[in-house]
Amino acid sequence: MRRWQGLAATAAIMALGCVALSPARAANASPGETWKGLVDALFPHQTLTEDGTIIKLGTPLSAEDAALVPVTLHMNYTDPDLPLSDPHRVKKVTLVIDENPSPVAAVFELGPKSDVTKIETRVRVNQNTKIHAVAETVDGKLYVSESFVAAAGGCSAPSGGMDTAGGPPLGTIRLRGIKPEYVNADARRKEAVVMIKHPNNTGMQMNAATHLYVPARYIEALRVSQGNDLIFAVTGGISISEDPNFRFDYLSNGSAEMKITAADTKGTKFAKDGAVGPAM
Amino acid sequence: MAKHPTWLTALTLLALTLLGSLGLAHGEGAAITPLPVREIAPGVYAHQAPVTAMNAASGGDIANLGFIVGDEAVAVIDTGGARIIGERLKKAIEAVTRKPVRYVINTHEHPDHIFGNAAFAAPGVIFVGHMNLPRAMAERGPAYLATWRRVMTPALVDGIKLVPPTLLVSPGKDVRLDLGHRLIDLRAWPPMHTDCDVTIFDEKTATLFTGDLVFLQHVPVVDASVLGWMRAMPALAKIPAKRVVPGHGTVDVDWPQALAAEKTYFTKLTQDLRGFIARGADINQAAKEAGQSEASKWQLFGIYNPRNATAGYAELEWQ
Repeated sequence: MRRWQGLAATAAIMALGCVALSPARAANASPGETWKGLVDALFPHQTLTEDGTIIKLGTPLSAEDAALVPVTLHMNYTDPDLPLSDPHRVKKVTLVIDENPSPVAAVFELGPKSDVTKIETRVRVNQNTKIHAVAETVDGKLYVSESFVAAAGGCSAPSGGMDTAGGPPLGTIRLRGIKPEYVNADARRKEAVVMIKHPNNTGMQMNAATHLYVPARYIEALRVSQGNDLIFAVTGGISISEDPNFRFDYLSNGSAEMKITAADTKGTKFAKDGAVGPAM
Repeated sequence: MAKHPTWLTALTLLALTLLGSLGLAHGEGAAITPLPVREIAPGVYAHQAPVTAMNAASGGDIANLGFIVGDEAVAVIDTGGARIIGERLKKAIEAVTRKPVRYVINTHEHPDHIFGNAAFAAPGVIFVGHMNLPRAMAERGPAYLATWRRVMTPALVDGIKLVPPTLLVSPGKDVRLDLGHRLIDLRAWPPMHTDCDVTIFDEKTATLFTGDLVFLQHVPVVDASVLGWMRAMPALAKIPAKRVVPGHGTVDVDWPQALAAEKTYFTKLTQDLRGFIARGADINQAAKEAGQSEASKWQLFGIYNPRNATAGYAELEWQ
């Protein structure tokens, strides 16, 4: 695991850009200490309150596949009809996988008019770890939800294991609407899946022939809008699984089209405008 | 009279202790007991491991292993999940032949098949595997060791060294090894169980070592591609074997009938997953419910089926 530590620092800086992590973060720190160090680095001098009605994190107890761990964020889910101006509405969520080489998996910005109460994505989990979701509400307060996942080796799992022969090329974006009867009775509340074909290389996977590490290349920005209204935007890191996948609900503003833009760390841009098709 | 037996017991104990320590001092190597193996065809030996999880209790002995003896040399097929298992396999080989081990073939990257490699590392021994195996070992090896240190005893993990292959097999280019009037064919497969699966076919007896491309009793584990596995199955079935040694479960079974159970499992699992995706069920629900109609047919189903369902959902979502 020693090899990871140098990479960890590099990857963390790459993924976070401007946020420097405490160098005291050691691989053998106790789980509690890791989180304390992360809070000092990411949310200095701020109070984090636990309140499941504002942010609730859903994860499996153990990662069935460490390279693909479903994580669900529930925002204001007990009160989805909270007025848009309510101070308790969540506007931003930071997803942190404490023991990963790059702990900040993603930062989600929620559109003020789209009323997203659920985002499900899939992450890589490198070892047993706590996972935290930190929500910032409209009034600027921070709320946290914590869970624990047992896992091993998700960040170095080879990408491209899936049978991609003849599959869609890198950057293909697919938009999948979930049938309303599956979701709920509110006709205006819809659910959809955005998927991007992308290896999301972590920098910890090797080329089979050369045994050199494949450089990190991952989706760092994604925006999903309905008409001119943002549904959500993601700033992502290497902890998001191969073929990034986001399933979310939103309040429809009546637009028939959804607009998706994405960019990876190599500077390649991807886009798709399209009707939210029915489930396959 | 009560004194007598006590006195005798003490003496007996003393004698046993002395004998015990003498025995230990006399034959340190004898502490390693040969792994039980069976000659399933002339010159072809297989060890059938129990179907169980890798933990302290199973001691790393959970994968089927084997060896093939030619006129000049021996080829070992997989080495077990701990160094001691490799050492015990070596003892089993020494018990049936004095010919040297020339090749150690790893059928894929998983710890239960490669962690005994170090027991065979010696001048003149060539390690053989899929062209992707060195990468897989380097990438995942450290994480495997860390995990296994937690779930097994430290003593079982301490002697383990990752020994990567130097003779590599590429898909589409079978490699033939000569053990002395005995040819064995090695084939590398596209992503199926893992992305570094190799099978070994002994021409003389038409025995096929499938590694984990065939699971019996132990629910199949998909670590690369369920669709790739299903797609490659007809080519696998075409290998003209009379008997196979699967990676897990009963050894010396008929071919290609041995594929039937896992084919049914994959068919049911992928049917369920396609249905879940079409209806709009999410990946968490799929992990809990897909493939459950097969649960009673397999061991370790609760551990590995959710994993297969999770990875399979993500794979099928792109179809």
